[in-house]
Amino acid sequence: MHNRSSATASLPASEPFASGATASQSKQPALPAAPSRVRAHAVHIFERSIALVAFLLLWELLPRVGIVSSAYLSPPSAVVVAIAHLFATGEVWKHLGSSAFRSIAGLLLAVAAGIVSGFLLGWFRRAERIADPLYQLLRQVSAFALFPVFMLFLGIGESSKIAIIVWAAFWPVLLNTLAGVKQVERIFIDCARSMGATQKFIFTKVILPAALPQILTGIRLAGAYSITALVAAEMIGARSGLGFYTLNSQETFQIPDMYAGIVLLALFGLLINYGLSMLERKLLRWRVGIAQNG
Amino acid sequence: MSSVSLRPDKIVAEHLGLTYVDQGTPGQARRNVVLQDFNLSVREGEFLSVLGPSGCGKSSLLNILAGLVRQTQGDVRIDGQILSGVSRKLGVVFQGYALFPWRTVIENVEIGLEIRDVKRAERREQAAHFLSLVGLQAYGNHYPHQLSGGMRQRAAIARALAYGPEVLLMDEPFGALDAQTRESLQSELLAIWEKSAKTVVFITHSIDEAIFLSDRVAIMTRGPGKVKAIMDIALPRPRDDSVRNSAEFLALRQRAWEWLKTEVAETAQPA
Repeated sequence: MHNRSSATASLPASEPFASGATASQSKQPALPAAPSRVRAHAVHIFERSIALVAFLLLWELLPRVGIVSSAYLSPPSAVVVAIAHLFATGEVWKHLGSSAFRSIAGLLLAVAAGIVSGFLLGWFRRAERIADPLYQLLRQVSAFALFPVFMLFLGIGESSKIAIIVWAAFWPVLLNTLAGVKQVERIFIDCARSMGATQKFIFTKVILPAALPQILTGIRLAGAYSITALVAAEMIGARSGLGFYTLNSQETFQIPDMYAGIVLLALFGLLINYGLSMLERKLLRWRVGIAQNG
Repeated sequence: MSSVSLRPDKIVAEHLGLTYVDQGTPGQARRNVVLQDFNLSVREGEFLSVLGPSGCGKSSLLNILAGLVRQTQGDVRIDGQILSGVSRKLGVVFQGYALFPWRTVIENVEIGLEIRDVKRAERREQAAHFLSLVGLQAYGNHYPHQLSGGMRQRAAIARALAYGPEVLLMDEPFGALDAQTRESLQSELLAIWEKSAKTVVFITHSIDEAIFLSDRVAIMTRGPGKVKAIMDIALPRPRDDSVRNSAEFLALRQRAWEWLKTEVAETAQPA
């Protein structure tokens, strides 16, 4: 974002702006064309929002002017009302709660399993050589294809739904952890060993932090996959959850409610992603500025 | 330094050999002899440099002494005891710093103490002491990437010293630095060494560096590596930069160059 705005800031500034607001913009040394930064910021906000606004307008208009039947497509204003109603009645918490529990439980299990197996396979090269063909095959098996199998073994309750999420979210964590562990520079491990570090110390204090950037990339992917799997799981044999609510609304012709479910699912996905990127920022604070200095 | 020659041996390498089997193409395994019949004694408290052309097995030697690589022949003894694996008497300063980028400078320096389960407050204090020894007391909370190359190397030296090893193994520690930083770090290292009474094994390919720093310089042959000659460096201590221009220094450098010349010439051809 910074690169972007400074690129626009270097455009020739035509009219001078009142420069009072520029100080709060950035702590970087002031550029000669300081007033244009306000303008650059405005341009930036405009650019970032125009597509969204146009989309919402189009969505509102299509059913309103009758190009698309409102029986199929509810305008966003009606969706907002439906969402507000969901919150007013408190019904939203039941569905959101179920969805949050399933996806977070599934994600946590997948992350734990993925990191542990990624470590084992990354550290024991022989184990990786043996396991590689197997997991290359297994990771191609769609979580949705396995749902009947999970239902068979685990029944129709929470565990089969969580299992499908674990399956979907496990692979990116495993593969990224594995790659991260394999890429840890030899010299870091040698250095710790030369000081007499135990295997446990090397795992937790050298390999884990060194591989963490890649592991976190895997976890963010897993977050996105877990939402996809969540929706699918909730559309088959569930009685609560945002996925259930969405499908159920369609089946009962509550079309604005159906769109409300979709919008809430998207917002929930955004929230998970935001949470994970905050986690990433916090854990990788040491990397700030590393690109510039090597 | 006649006193050095009277001291007991700290490290003794006897008939050391290291052979890799290189399996580049299947079915065409090639034996790669890195070290062969390598003999060397390092005396207690001395500063000994191992000087040789690149590819002569210097770094492999260091890895064996550090206990990171197992030799295929011969023994290493430290204080008379056979070395098997990593010894806590040794501290290593690696080529290219090897500072952990996710740890601050002080956290890097205290890592050896952390490995030895020293309590947090105590290791902080120790680490701070060694940081100020190398002049980095103001940079403890910086991350390694925020420091210059010379400062990083000083932090790496502080880290190796912090847990109190009796021997410091240094693998071309100043190789990546510019000439000026390099010379000032050499002087600093000597000052630290003179205060600490540690044994130092210093690997380098720079003749000037080896002579300036050392009590003795072991010159290695090109792979398979062995010791070709050992030079006594009888320059007075403490040494400062002026010694570099002395007639003795130039004579020693000339002699070292005579020894090394043939080795370098041979390396230059294949590669």
